[in-house]
Amino acid sequence: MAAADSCDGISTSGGGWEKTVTLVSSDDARFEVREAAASLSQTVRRMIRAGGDGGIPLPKVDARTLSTVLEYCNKHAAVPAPAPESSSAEAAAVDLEWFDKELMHVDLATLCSLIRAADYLEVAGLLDLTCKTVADMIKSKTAEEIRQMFGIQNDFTPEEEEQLSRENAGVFE
Amino acid sequence: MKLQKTGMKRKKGSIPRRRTPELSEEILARLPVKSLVRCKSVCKAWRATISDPVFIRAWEQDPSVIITLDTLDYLIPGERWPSTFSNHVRFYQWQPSNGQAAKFLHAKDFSGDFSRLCYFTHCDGLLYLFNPATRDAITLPDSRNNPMREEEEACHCSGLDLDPRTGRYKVVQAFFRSIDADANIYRMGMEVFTVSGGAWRETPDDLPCPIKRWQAGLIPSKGFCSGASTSLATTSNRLHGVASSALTWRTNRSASPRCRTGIGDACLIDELRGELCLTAPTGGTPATMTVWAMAIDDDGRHGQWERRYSYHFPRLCHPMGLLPGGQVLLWNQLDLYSYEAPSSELKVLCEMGCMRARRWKKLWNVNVRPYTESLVRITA
Repeated sequence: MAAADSCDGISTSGGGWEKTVTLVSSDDARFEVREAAASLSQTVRRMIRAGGDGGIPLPKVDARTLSTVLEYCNKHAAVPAPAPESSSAEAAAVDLEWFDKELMHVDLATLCSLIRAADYLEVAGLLDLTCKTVADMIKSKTAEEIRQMFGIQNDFTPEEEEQLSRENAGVFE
Repeated sequence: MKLQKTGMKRKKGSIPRRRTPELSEEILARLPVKSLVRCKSVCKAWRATISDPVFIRAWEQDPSVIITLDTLDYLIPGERWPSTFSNHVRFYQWQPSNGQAAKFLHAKDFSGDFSRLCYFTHCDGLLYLFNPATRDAITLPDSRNNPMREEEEACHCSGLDLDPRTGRYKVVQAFFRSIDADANIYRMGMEVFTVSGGAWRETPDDLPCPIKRWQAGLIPSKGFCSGASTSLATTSNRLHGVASSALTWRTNRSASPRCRTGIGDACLIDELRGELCLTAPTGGTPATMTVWAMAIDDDGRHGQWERRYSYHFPRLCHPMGLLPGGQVLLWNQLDLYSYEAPSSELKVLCEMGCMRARRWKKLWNVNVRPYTESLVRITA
């Protein structure tokens, strides 16, 4: 996974230098990112506008999670606005879909950290992607399997459980 | 964003980072209805989230329509208006991805509840008053207010919506108080029923303008949410306005949209995404239909009619929703169409007449309504 090794600035495909910003994770790792990519986060975008030196502090996101978020942002910001219905646009969409799928090959704990980070950083696309991934994981599971998965305690009394199963009886058989 | 506290307890040996996401609402919002039913039994916090009307309203789903059929039990030869409407109703769901096929949802026997199926109204996954997803149904009590209920001329327009102030569903229906047969003008009253333990209650204000028959429509919309129901009235070839006779005993009128030819009797009024939509022919060759929309806020206040789009088509279509690509889904009789701005043409998406050939016998009419599956429970 790409970590804090991108501090040497990033050149654009055109060979010129693009404006970068530095993001600082909760554990003080510094990430230098293209502004265009960082701006996929509405939170960061607002902080860039507000100005300030010495990097943008993101106290709620650790380095490991932030590097994944930035991997997502770098990839998605790199996609140029494609001419609709051109074959290259289609290929780019397929590539992006593939990338997203690969990015989601992580454990549940990582996914949950990503959801929290995407929510805090307001990266709408990543929030949707991560929530959909978790939703797909629990879609066909029973209540007990879901509890085990998230370590949720069953706080229903036996009477309440009885009532719930009565309420749901006959629905979607 | 509302963070959801959950009854979580870290299990022995589990990774410390492994926690229920506080954003369970975000995840639940992306589940299909069947999974949501199971998720209600996970813990109290999840049950509370899923049962919250705000969650139900925000729940993201692909656009779909529900199709109900007026079918005849058998044909009596020579009958001008059938008397054999079936009380056995089949519900089908159609989504753009379905192409030419509709998915069978459920069949229900409304044993003797009606002699003819009128348009089902829809709100939050409830059909008046039946939820095809959970299969709850209640029968509304008979109304005593309607003086002409037994007569052939009786009015059958009704609407259903959630009243955000009380969090309860309300049914509103209009009735004819008296009819001036010579002038073909109707005086109308309205009554409201609150679901769960309510009774029909007449609103003190009658509709403020005379109504021409068949032009009376009752549209549940945000106007009704705030306690207003809305009805369209036309007189002598001119749209009189949209009158909103509020449950808060307030009456509003709005000016009719301006158009070159004036709006005649032939127009449709629908509700879509909290807006009233008016479709009327605006002449020309090829025949052109124009759609206006007017937003209504939660307090029943409304803005001005705004012209939205026009399409070349010989018949009026009901707007049914927005498709994922931004096109408008439209319905006319046996066909569903899509409309995309640049072309002004309609494209056929689904010919329900073709489906009929396979399974729908003795079909009298097809009703199509925008539909979202929901877990709202309805109890008498």
